[in-house]
Amino acid sequence: MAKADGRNSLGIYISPKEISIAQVKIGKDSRPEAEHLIKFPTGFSVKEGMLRPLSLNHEFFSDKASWVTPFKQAVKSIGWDSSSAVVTLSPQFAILRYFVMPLVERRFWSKSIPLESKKYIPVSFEEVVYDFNAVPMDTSKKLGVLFGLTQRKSVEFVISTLKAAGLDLTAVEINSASMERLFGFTDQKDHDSKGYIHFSGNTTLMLFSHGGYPVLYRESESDSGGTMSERRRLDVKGAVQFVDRYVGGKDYKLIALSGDGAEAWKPAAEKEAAPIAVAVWDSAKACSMKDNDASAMFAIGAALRGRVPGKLKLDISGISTAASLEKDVQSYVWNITFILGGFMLLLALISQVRLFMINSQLSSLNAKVANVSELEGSDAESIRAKIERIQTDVRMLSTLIADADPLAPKLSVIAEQIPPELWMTDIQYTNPLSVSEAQGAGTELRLVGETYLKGETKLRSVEGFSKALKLAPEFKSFTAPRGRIDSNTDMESSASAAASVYGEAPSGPKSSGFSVICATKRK
Amino acid sequence: MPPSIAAIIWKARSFFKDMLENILMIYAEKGIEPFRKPLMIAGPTLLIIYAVVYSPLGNRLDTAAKRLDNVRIVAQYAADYEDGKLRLSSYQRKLPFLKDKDEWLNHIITTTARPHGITFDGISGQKELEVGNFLVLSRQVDVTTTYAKLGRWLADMENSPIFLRVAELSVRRDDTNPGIIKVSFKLSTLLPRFAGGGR
Repeated sequence: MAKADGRNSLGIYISPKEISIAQVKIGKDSRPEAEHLIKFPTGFSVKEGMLRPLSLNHEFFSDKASWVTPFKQAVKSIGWDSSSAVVTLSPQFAILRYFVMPLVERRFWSKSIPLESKKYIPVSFEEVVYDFNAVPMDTSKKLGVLFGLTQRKSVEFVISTLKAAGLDLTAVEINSASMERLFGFTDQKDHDSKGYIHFSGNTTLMLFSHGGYPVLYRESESDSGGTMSERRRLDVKGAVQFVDRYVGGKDYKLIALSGDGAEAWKPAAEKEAAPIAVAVWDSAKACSMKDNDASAMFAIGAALRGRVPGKLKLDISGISTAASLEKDVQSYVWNITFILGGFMLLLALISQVRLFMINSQLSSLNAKVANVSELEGSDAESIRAKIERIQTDVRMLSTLIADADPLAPKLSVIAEQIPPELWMTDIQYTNPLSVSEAQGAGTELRLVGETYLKGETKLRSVEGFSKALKLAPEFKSFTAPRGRIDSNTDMESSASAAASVYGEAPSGPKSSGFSVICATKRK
Repeated sequence: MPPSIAAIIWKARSFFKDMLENILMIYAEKGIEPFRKPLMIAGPTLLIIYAVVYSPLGNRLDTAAKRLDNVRIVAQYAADYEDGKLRLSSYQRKLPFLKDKDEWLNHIITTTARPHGITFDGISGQKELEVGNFLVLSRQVDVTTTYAKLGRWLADMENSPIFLRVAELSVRRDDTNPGIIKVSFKLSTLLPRFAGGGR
């Protein structure tokens, strides 16, 4: 059941004969109580005979109409507690139809329902305002529609008249809707399975509803000139069949009779309604009314609009529909905003938690990487490359620095180990810096000398010198497996001039050469 | 699925389905006009939430996540890198400073020669060769001296705590002066091209 909106409005019932204005409060026992209820005749003369629908509107809702001035006076005569009003029109001024149509998607309702309604409402839609309530039916793929309309000018006139009287129009509905609201609120128990017949003076009102919508509403006046049998006929069966034809499978359990002389109508009603039970219901008491006047009942029902639960929201003025639409749109937009905003905030919250966790992980990791800030921002590949370069440099420097093989000690060993009969004439040494593998080259120490010794003696002496070098720790790098020390004694003297320098005559003993080559393999 | 949760899901689905249907219906009937006013408030509200809360936090999270990934990688290699750097710096302490590259080799040659009374026949200009992360510096020195002085001088130079090497040496007897030799040698050292080691 839909919730009540809670806005207080006056209820104004307008019929060709009379106008009722009601201010209603809901009592402690959840009964409506009319705080103010005034009624006055319109003074409008209705022509006898059959009338076309809405044929009275033009004449009734005009500035020249006799009811406008009394209406303004009536409004001013009481201190109403609300400046808004819900107007409910009698069936002479508006049309309300319930019909069933094939189910269509909601977004097509605004086009397809007015089209469908033309089958049931035989008036031109050019000068009318309308509204509808539609509900998909549970049992079939059908749509139950309550469609109401009236003339646009009538609504505009009502709005301006109310404004002139200091009232704002909240909604315009039709009296059967007001009656259904009132009965639905005051007789809630099994309300949907009851058909209502109310007697007000010589007027009989029949209301047969389904799901809170008035499916059949009939007003008939008992003609005092008619026969008793005509007066005693209510046509309950016809009403029930009518509803069943539209709704399908509607099962009324009780016909509630209320109003003037309800007890007297009971036997006739029972006879007609059988097997449906008939009971008398005190609607005046339920509605806290002093009498059974129907116009007061409609006004009270209209005043309850928006204040009692119910899904009957029909407003043929379009005012409340527009307000409701605006409210709905706002609600939907805010819903979506809340959902999206909430989702973003939720994601933000999750992000905040993740950020907190990441920051705590970062704090612990930062301690590990504090000394390598230069690696910050590098990817794994470039870090590996950097480490590789450093390791290459380390290996290279380690080879150069740790394996230093100084020359001076070697020169010293040469001076110490060379036999007195041998002397050096030339020393060539190469030990290039091999910074890279491509540059790498071996070390070579080439010792060239001379001696006066000959033959086997020379050989032994040179070999002895060579052997002494091999044994010297300073020449270890030139020994196997990385190096070698070779000697050669098959050499001529390098210079005969040397002899003259050292004092030998040209005819004296001739010196001969030798060489010792110390080499290491390339690293 | 527990019935209570299924009921909540069903209710939520119904709610959203109804809402969507109503929105489509209102839009089909009235167009965008009814939505304009609420959207003018809701749109900026969402934009503000997005711009002030969601987006900056998302960017911060992305940045932090990338930084965490990077720090994890750095941490994975930090020990190896530090170890390498430590070893490299211990070796680099035995190399001349980059700022001294123009003077150091000449300085060591001249200062060590002076105590031995060695005079130079010639000292070449410094040659510099870039190899990898290093710069190889070399100078060619020509002297006429005795074998003993040469040995002591070379020993002094080679005993330097800073790395240097006699890369080439040629010793020849001076035929005109007994006991005197003519020496030509190339002295080399190297230093890192970049402060702090490798790139």
